[in-house]
Amino acid sequence: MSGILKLLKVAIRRGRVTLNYPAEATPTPEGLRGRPVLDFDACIGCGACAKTCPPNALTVEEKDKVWTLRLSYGRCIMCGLCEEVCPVDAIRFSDEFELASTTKKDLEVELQLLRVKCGSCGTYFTTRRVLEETAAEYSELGDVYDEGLRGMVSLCPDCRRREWSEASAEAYRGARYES
Amino acid sequence: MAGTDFVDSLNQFVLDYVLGWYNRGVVMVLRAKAPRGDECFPSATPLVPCADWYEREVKETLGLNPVGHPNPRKLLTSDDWPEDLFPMRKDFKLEAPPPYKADAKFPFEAPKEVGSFNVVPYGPYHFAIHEPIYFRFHVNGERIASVDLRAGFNYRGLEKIAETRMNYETVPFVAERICGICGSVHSEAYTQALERAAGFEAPDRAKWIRVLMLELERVHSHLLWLGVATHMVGFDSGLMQFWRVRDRIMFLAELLTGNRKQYGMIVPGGVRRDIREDKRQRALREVSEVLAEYEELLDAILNIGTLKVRLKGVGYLSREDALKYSVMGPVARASGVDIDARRDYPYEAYPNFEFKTPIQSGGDVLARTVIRTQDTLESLKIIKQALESLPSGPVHVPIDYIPPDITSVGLVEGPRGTDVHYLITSEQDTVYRWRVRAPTYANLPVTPLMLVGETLADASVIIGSVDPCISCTERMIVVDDKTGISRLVTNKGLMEGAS
Amino acid sequence: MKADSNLKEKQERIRELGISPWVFPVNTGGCNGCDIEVVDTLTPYFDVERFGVKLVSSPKHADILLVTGPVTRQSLKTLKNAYEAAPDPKLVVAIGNCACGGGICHDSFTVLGGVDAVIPTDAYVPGCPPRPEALIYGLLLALGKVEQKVTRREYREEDLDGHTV
Repeated sequence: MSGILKLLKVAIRRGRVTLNYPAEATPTPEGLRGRPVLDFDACIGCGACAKTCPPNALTVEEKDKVWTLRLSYGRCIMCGLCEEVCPVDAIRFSDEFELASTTKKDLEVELQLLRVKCGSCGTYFTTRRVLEETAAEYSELGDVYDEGLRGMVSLCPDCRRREWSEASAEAYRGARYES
Repeated sequence: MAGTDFVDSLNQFVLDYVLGWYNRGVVMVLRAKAPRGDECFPSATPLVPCADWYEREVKETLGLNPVGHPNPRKLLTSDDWPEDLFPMRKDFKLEAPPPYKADAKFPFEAPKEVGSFNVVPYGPYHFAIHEPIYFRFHVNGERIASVDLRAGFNYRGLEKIAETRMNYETVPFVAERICGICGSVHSEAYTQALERAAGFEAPDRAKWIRVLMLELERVHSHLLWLGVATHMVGFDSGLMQFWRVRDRIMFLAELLTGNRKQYGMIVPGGVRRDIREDKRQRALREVSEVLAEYEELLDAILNIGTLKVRLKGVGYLSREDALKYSVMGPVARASGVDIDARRDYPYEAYPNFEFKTPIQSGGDVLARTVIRTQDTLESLKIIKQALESLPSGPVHVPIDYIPPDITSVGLVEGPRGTDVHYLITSEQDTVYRWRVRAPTYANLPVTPLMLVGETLADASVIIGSVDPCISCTERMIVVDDKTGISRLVTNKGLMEGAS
Repeated sequence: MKADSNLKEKQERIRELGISPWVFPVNTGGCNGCDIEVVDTLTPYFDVERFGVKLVSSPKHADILLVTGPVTRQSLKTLKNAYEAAPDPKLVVAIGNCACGGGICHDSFTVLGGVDAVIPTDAYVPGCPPRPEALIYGLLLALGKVEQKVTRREYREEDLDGHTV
């Protein structure tokens, strides 16, 4: 049988395979990486996602009292690294893929959180939610989480380093004189 | 060949010539050095024609002058890029590109024969070639007398981005986006080079899954090519039917990885997602059905007489030329050169599978078509073997430590030939130098040889038969070379960290 | 760049001319993934020809320009030529992340950073690469036949006094 007739046979047997999109929703497989969904209540503002994002779709801006996270679907490559590194599961991938838009502004998500001041020097150093999350995790240590440690948590890294080393030097001096 | 700027630390440029001896499965790296201030080197092109493009690239991106090169024109940087600005040098900052000039011109070559010729432009936008590339034919009636080509439309500077903004773990995502058809090949080659530099071996289950990803890519790439090739000879049913079968593979890839292309699966340490048992069973069923449909389609389409007439005897490449220009992949195998990186430099789980490497001696477009159809069949069989024998265990183990200043090479057989990634690790968490040599980089310079003497109507098919993947070719190259002292380093020596 | 004439006006003019928009794909130096998905929409599973869309080989026949790729320096001239050759009314749709804003190579020295830095753009279809269904949806959105689903979202935390940031 000539090639053309064989091909006709194949075509007739397979029939019509066209998916009836957009009249009907097309089936999406499980695990499809579509639009990343940011949970505004869960995000603590650590910035891990922005550090790891390869195309810089997630960017962080820190200015005085405000910590801003911006996500642009137009630049997101749906790789899933942000979902992997987020410590509180605030970013999850849905299976929505119909993300077309007539303006670039509609492709953006903006989240603004409050920052807190250092208890010693007064500079803004982290978000309120990160501090609350850290305090909540430390309080599970029980008695070890005493007043001294609680004070350390609300200091910026430079002040914390300074106070800790002063306290350690003090303890060392005390120990030497004892022996 | 790759060049690197070590001016800050060692006051010199380094040029590494990576040579593969496929009969013995050995990779040699010859290192040459050029001190700052004396930036030139004797060109190897008169002796070894395939060094042509590498040397042109080194010249424009690093500023090392190949003395004696017959044709040192620009290759990848744009027409208006200043001749004295070298992007791959370490002191060039990403944020400082020069302003755009609209009237820059490229010096095309005049035809070598004597006579009156018409100039016929082919590209940059043409349905047969998916990416922009500009061929210029000088024709005498219907016969092509000479060909010149201008690449550089796809040059995106990805190697520089990997050196500056990325780290070891995010470079595979950049590597995948070098090419939309053979993305996994690039992320696998990079990962292979990095794991070799760290002396790390991925867990077994990860190796099997990596083979699965690579072979799925080979199948979808060849089915794509078969569809486009039949379209180019005027037979659209071929396009529709082959791509219908191809879409089944794409749906399968989406089910297993979450995306139809750019899977994001192969990373240093293993793979990112596991394959659950029910998905594995479904994949096995799909692959068996695709195999049956594909064989049926091949039987129908390759029996069509007019198709064979259009493909036979066109675009001939002799075995001598194929060896001389170091051609790779199906183009080389169609001319009788038996190379296949899966067999010659075994990697991942390939030693555990049985597969044949088809070889033809016709050297024309029909031979290349036959090779690709047979390659697809072998790939589908490898996928079945991989799915059936998938071992248990972890899919990802983090790499503890990547030592700095190690030179390493990764070789992977992609759908178009052998893809080579060369990298030098650094003390920061990213590569010091990363150089991608896609197979099309070796195959494309040979296209003018195949085109001269043919008719204009066959030009599409001939260019298409090389299966050019222009975006792979142009990601960005930085080459630094200087000939001088050379040293032989074997594959084992590379793994032990010769530098 | 924002579109020069109103999008609704253009959609109305295209509708008046007939219902078969012809499409010319322009690759400004991308990886090719999006271009292959554009060709994939012609194949049996997605069959974009149901909507009268045809892929043409010259911009002079086109109603819609589908632009992919971050605009590289070398392809700037060809993109501008294609845009000027296409007759009015025409729509420009940016397909894929690279065209929407430069993508993963947005800060490279040879990349000009997305289509809207060069020519007025009417619609954006994000994805890497966008699924063929997403492409069809984007095309229909540009033609005004479907509603847009994605909107800008903002969230501001309140401080202790009840003021938002």
